[in-house]
Formats: sequence, structure tokens, C-alpha cells
Amino acid sequence: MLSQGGEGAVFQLPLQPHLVFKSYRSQVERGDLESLVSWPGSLAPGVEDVVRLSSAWPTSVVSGADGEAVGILMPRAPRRFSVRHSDGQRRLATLSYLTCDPARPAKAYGLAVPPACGPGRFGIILALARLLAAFESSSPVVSHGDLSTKNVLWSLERDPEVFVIDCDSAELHWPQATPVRSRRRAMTPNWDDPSVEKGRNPTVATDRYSLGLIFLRVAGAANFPIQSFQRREGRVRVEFPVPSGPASRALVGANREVWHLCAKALSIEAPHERPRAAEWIDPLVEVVGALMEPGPISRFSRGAPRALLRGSPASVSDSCPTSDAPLAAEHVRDVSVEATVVAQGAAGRADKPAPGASGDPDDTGGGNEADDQGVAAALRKAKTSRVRTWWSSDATSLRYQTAAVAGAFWRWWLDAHRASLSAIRAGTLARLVALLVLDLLIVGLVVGFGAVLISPLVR
Amino acid sequence: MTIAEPTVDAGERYSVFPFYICMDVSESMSGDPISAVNKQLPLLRASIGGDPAVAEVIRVAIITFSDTATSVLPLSDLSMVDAIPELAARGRTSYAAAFEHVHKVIESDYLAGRSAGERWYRPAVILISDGRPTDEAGRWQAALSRLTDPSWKRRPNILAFGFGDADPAVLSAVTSAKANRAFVAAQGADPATVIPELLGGLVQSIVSSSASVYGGQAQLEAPELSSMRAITVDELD
Repeated sequence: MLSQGGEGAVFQLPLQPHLVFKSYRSQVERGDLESLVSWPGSLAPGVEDVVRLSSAWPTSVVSGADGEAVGILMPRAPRRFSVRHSDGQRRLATLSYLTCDPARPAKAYGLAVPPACGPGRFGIILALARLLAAFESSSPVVSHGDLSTKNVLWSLERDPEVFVIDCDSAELHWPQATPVRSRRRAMTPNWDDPSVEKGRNPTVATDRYSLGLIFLRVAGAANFPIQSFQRREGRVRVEFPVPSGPASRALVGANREVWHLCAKALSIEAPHERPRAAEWIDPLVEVVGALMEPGPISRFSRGAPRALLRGSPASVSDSCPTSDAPLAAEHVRDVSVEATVVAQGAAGRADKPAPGASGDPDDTGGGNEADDQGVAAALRKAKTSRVRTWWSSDATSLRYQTAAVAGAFWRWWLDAHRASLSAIRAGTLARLVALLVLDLLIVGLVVGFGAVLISPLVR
Repeated sequence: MTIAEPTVDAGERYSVFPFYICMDVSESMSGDPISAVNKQLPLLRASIGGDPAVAEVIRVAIITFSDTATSVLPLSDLSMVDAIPELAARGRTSYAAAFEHVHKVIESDYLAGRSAGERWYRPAVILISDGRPTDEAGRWQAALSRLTDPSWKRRPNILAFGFGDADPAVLSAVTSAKANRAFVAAQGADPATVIPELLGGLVQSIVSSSASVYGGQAQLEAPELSSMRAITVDELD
């Protein structure tokens, strides 16, 4: 057994390690589960890929002896959505690691998480926005309902990615109809939407609130306990510290839209005006782009969210109309978010960073020169700091350039093969064949080159 | 804007919620019961210390008591603790020693925490015992009165759990006869079965309490345990 909750228990399947079985404690409507399982099939291929790659969307209903639904099968979170603590144990990479002072995971678990306002953090939020935009782009619209720390996993191993779990509690909202699913769905305390009355189920607008809250907490590496203020006072002002340097240019200069979006998303006065997830995508792409802009290290560093900047051919933002409401701060009366530039190292907490396991103060101090390295090094343990030092050595040196070119080639190769999987699903095999031929050529070149190098030694 | 708004910023600090686990390690706990405790205690560190969000607001101390009481784990942020020491059983069951020690450490921990800039929720004392107090009734009751004295600002909330020879009336008195605060296992229940469920349930309770800390109103939630029943509160005549 992997875990146990109020609804049932989750088991691993020894013969199918990529799946988990969730067994329900009480009776669940079979039709509801079947609607959920079949929903991604109704999406455009590119959008379906976003859902399949970024969520544990249920794949089959498991029946009991009498044909009743007893549980579901769901994909298991891939290994890259976990972190390894210094005691050697692996744990799911929940948002908790990102919503606390980065000094804490460094000191307590030997983990280097990116500093506040680093591009990796915005990349993760962008990945979540893409998934939620896919949820909202379909008919019926889908809402997850509990986007909490434990339900949103993240990874920076490839590109910034999310993997949303607990999707069997998601709700399908058919147009002009009562929701098909009427199960009681509770929200996690501290991650709840204060506009939803106690005892009521979350709505479509709840996911939009969650995206705003996750933006605030993940980008700012802090908890921002706004709900208690909203419940008590109705209105709240959020002061968001942005470290000076590239982050301040990206976040306080031209790309201010994210703050308007955030304030609108967190409104409890006008939940119906909260921005759709798709509205976040372009502003977030701009922020990530602006944060990645300067310096040769940014262009080449491993793990940089380049794929996120390109946008996919079947970008969900294209298929989802944006709200007609103009983006203006005065429309949000109950929440204001103000980004204030603070001296480097002072962003986030007033505390001095704990002596991080990496021994690199930039990893925990919020300095933006180290941002791109922070992305590359995110969640790597202290022992990798030597590699990072090597990696960030003089950009004009031959080994740096060689490594950068090799890294760029490796990323291109991975992306091309990932894209080929989509091509198979879409039924176009030509691309795959071309890629295989290219792979053979590469192998041939490597073998040939190796033979030329080794031949003098053999003689 | 003319109306002053409440302001939230990244430096928002949360008050911490301290838990003092007082574990009876008298001779009667030797053998299977103490092994079960030692097997389960690492779960505290893994579940509470392993989650940065929980660890940030929860502090845990482990105090053992028999003839005397000792802090085997001082009040700690469990994410910073490498291992929880192993407990050994010996001696008698002095509730007085436990209450006096808890009173002393709460006072000193609070003062230390405050000087470090911490704010505290009212601490929770979790008393786990398999027997009746072996010290004189007057002595342990006096120590309890001191611990729960309404004029002492740091007086803790107490949850009590008993099994083996634990006396429901004593447990009820320890928790000031408050509803849903004292629990006892069925007569003859095997401590080696009760202990894992009890400690597992407590960990879940503490984790749930951490969410309420973030919500701004910490709540002490008693665990739901199938092997234990809540001691009902007496009706008044």
C-alpha cells in the first residue's frame, strides 16, 4: 500500500509499476468514473498529451465481482517528480519544498531548491497553467478542485514540469447542466478557496484561485497566508518582495501583467472574473523569457525552460478563448498585489540563509546571477556542487563551449524523440522513420570516429 | 485607497505548535510494548520532519517517565533531527515526576523560543501510560494542579491515552474530565497492537494540526483510533 486517505487506499501494482490502483471505501457511481476515464480522449491530440504527461488522469475503472466500480487505475508519478533527502529516502516532490524558505530544504534535507523568483519557479507555474488551460479548453470544462501542496508535484530534471495527482476527484462541468459528479469534495486546509462556503464543493473558479495562490507561494518561496485575512477582513494587500537585478527587470518592469492576473485570481469578491488559466500563459512565457535573457550561462544551462518558451504546435492557449474583461487593477477591489524590489539576498525571509549543504550561498540567498544554475541544479544534492562549479566556469573556455554544445545537442535529441512519440499517436510515422535514420547515422559517426582514434593504439 | 488593508508579505511568520509526548517507560512496558514504541517513533521524524510545511510549524519533545522523568528528545524541529533515541523500560510509574518535568521544560522552552523570536500556540501534552501512578495520589495530583494552574499562562492542553493497567478515572482526572481528551484501550488489549495504531494516529493528528496552524487557528485534534475508546465525561448530579 502506498497511502491511505478518507476515500480509500492507493496500492502499487507489482506487474505494472507505472500504474497505481485506488480502491474506494464506499460506493462510487460507475458512470461518473467512466466519464472521467474517457474525457481525455475527446481532446485534440496535443492537448491530450498535456493532460496525459502532466497528470495522473484515471485510465480505467476496476470492477468488482458484480460489475460494480470498486476502484480505478491511475498513472504513477514518474520518478523525476520525487526528491531524495540526505537520509537516502525518496519522497514525492510536493509544493512544500517550494513554498518555504529555500534555506530549510537545504539545511534539513540537503536539497538545493531554486531561489525565490528564479525562472525555474515560473516555469513550474507555467507548466501548471498549461495543464489547467487544457482542463478549461474542453467541453465539459474540467476542474480539479484541490490543487494543494500534496496534489501538485514538480520537477526541474528535464524542463520545469508538473504532475497533478488525485485527479479522480476532478469534476466535469457540462454546459447548462448540474455537475455530473456530486461526490463531496473537500479542499486541503490552507490551500482552499475562501469564496467557497463551508460544506460546499469547489467550483470551476476554485482552480483559478489555486493558480493565483500557487503563483504567489511558489514564485515568492513563502506561504502568504492570505485566506485567513480574506475570511476575516474581506480584503487583503500582498507585498511581494522581488530581488533586485534581472528578476526586478523581468517582474517589476515591463511584465507587470502577472501581478494583475494574480490579484484577479485571488479575488473573493468577484470569483467569476478570475482569469482563465490560458490567460496566464503568455505573461508567464514573457517572464520566463525575460529571466532567461542575459548571459551565456542562461542560454546553455541544463534544465533551462527552453521548451516552455517555444510553445507547442497544439498550444492550449490557441484553443481556449480568453476572457473579454479588460485587465485592469481597478477591477479587483478586494485584493492587491504589489511587487517591491528589495536588495539581493533580502527577498523572501529576513533570515540569513542557513549554511546550505551546497556551500554556495547563491543557491539559497535569492541572488539572480545564480538563477539559471539554480534551475540546472535544482534538487540535486550537495555533492553535485563540484559539477556546477565546473559547469559555470569561464564561458569562453573550450570545455565550457564543448559542454554547452553537447548539452544543446542532447536536449535537441531528447525533444526530437519525445516529439516522435506524439507523431506516432497522430499516425504520422514519416518523422519517426527519419529520426531513426538520423540516429543510425549518429551511431555510425560515433563508432567511426572512435575507430579512427583507437586504431593507432591497436597497431 | 482610504481604508487600511491587512497586509501579507513573504516574511509572515507562523506561531509554532509545540507537542510534548510523555511516554511511560516503567518496567511493565518492557518487552513487546517498548519494542513497539521504538519501532514506531521514527515515524514521527519521517512524517512530521520529512514534510517541510509540517516541520516549519510543529515542534516535538519526547519525555520518558518511570521513577524519574527525562527529556530524551528536547523540543525540536523534527526536520533537523537525525534520529530519535531508543527508549528503555525500567522502574515504577511516577506521574508526579512527569508533570513536574513537563512544567519545567515548557517554561524554559517557551522563554528560549520567545528570545529567538518565536510565537507559540498553547502547547499540547500527550500522556501515554500503561499503568496507574505508583506515587502517592496527593503528590501527582499536586503536580498536575501546578501544570494546569489557570494562572500559569503556559499551561498546556493535555491528551491522555491508556492501555494495560491504566485507570480511566485517573486519565480522566489528568485531562480535567474534558470531553474527547482521554482515551483507553479495551481491557486485555495487546499493547503491541494498540501502540502502533496509537502512535500512527497521533502522527496523523499532529500533521492535521499543522494545516490549522497555517489557517491561523491551531486546533488540537484527537486521533480516531479503533482500538481505543474516549472516556465519557461524568454527568453532574
